[in-house]
Amino acid sequence: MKKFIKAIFAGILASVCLFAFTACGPKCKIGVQQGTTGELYVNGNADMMLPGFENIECKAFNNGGLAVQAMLNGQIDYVIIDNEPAKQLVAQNSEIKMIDIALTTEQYAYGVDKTQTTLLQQVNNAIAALKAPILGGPSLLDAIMAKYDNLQYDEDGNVIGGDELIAGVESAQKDTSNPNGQLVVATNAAFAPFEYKKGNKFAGIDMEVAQFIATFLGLELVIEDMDFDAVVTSVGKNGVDIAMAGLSVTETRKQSVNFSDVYFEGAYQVLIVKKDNTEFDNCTTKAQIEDILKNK
Amino acid sequence: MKEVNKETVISIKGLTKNFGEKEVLKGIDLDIFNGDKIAIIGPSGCGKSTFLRCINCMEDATSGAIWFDGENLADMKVDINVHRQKIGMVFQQFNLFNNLNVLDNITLAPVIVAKNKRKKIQRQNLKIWFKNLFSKQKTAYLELGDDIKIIKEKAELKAIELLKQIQLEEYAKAYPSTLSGGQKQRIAIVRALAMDPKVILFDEPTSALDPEMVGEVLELMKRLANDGMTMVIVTHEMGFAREVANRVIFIDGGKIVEENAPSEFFTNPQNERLKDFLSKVL
Amino acid sequence: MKAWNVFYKQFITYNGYKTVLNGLLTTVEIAVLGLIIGILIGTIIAVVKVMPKYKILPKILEKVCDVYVAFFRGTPMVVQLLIGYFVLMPALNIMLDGVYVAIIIFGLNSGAYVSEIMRSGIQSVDAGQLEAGRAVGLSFWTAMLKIVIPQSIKNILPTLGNEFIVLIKETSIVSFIAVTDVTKAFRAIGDANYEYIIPYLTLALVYLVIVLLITFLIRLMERRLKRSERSK
Repeated sequence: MKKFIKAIFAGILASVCLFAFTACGPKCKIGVQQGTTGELYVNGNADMMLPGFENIECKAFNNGGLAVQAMLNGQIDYVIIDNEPAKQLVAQNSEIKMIDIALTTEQYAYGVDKTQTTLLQQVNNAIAALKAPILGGPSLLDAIMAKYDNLQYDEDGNVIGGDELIAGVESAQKDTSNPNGQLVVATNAAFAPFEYKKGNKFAGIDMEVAQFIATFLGLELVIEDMDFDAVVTSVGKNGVDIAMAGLSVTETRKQSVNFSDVYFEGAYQVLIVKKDNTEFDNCTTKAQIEDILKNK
Repeated sequence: MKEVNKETVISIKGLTKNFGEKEVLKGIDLDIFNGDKIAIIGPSGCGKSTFLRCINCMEDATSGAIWFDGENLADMKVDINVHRQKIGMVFQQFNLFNNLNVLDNITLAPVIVAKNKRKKIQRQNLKIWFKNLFSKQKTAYLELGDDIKIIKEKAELKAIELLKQIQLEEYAKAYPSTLSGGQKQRIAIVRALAMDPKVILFDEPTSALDPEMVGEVLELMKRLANDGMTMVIVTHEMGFAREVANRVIFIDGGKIVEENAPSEFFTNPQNERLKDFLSKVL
Repeated sequence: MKAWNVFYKQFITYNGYKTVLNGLLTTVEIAVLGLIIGILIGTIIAVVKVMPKYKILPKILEKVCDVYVAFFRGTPMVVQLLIGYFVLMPALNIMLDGVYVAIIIFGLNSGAYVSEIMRSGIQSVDAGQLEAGRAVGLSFWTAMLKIVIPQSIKNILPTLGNEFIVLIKETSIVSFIAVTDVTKAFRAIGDANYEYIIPYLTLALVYLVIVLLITFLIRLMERRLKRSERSK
């Protein structure tokens, strides 16, 4: 019995020592909001091609406010968070500032059949044309996006109004005997404003871009609506040429499709530091910030 | 009577005990001499058990003095634990330590006491060592005594010796729950003996026993009495009291009502209440 | 099937299992060290409560213990964690990692519960045992340690095991103070692909396995303790 108790005590002591030792190192700690891209950015996420930081411990808080509180308490060093909430946090708290350089962005691109390299080139050309400013003003893509600014949604994200002026895009019958005359697009038409159904027609930014590309290439446009899960995997099968479904670029998807150039960038992650912190004052690019973080 | 030569072991003066408002003991004076076998009898609830428990401060006296070894045990400043080592106690419910086997039951207290003594000497030696560092006059270290291992071995040898005397040595490794009441009580007595007490207090040692086991316990107690052990026994066994005790005390209403030699006590009671009591129990 | 593939990829290919293992370690660490602190504190409180109270010091100690127990039993663990991490640590200017805060808070919290378990365990031991110990000249503490507490363990152990199970499960809230335990680890796997079904089911399974394992160990220990009661 005595030996047993002694062994337990020795074990406890050893584990406490080990524990204290391993956790003792002055590791840089970054606070993030739980479940956001920021968390993936710090921890690393192969799927999203984020390498992560080996030297940094990620501290995931329930909300950004708590992370900022912890930083002000000195329990963590920095906070990485989406740009929109970051703005609000900075507006509400005079002790912090935001380094307004995008660390990660959500990038939307189209997934092209891997066997059709020409098509990829053509799609990229079309995207370049769409993104080109017209007479120094907004581009065609900007104009398309602007059309959807006034959409009204219900709680589930379904469009309930604001698109009365939008005509929508019609899909032709799929003709398997004429694969080269048609551009077959796979989408999941339930992701307004990028794609949604409007009566029998399709509407949304991606759909209008699809129409543009089909016209650009002189092809007939066929839109196949399917589950989002099936969109990427369907490409290259049954004549499907391209996936256009508000797809963000990920490593997993890259194995199934060739991604086009990015046509849209969503929310991005920024660094929040204490007001008196000057470490990042001279940074102008993401690489410079990451250099400093990596050498922490 | 050779009382002049007798040495006082415990001297109790004006002992009172209250439980809240209730006055249980109302001033008891008693001298216990070396070799005395005192039987305490009385109706239930008269305070005889409380009196016994006050002697070794299992219950703290409300007032009065209990002189033992030149110190007043009723004084809160006295280290009662040291004195209890020399005042054995045997309980009605045996109270063997259920988590220890028979041998450990007997050796636990002697070993701990010896160990503590050793530790105390070690502490004193440390002090001496420290003093020696700063003074030219070196003080000699105190004798440490036996090694802990040897302390243990000696205690065990003694325990087995005692167990042999009651023919229970084969149960040395048994746990109390496997023993009969009579065996338990005999071991409890041996446990008290292992401390070499000056006096043993028996709190109704046979009351919780099955009738056929009373004999073996009384037998052991008789043997102790013959060996000259000082004993204070609260009991209902009138026959035993008459045979073994040299003094019998009757307590009623928290006071010693009558004290006498057993022959006188049982055949010629003076007090009315004692008469009444004896007529009921005899 | 697809959900399974996504989970498999995140768990194996993208090293999700490492996070999970680390999280598991953290969970067990918090629960075990928390319970140990809890047992120490609980024992002390329990003994203070059963101590004879002639003098003034034990009376004061008992009052202190009462307040302590009332606080930790009267407030949710999450609140205690948040206060510990976001209020107390900065106020005391100690910058402990969340894990330590969690261990301390879990220890203090379980101390309050364990004290009750211990107290009833100690009181279930026949008063005569302590009395007999005192009668042979052992001090109150020695008699407690050598005689009463070993006997009370038999009564305490099963309940203590339950307390450990409660602790293991309660640790799932430590992500409130940014500690990555096993729950957080599985949640992160879900977050990576917004595919939560399999991670959460697996998580439930992990907890279940741990709890069943502990239950088994407690049974084993109980049986051993019972045996030691009988003759060898």
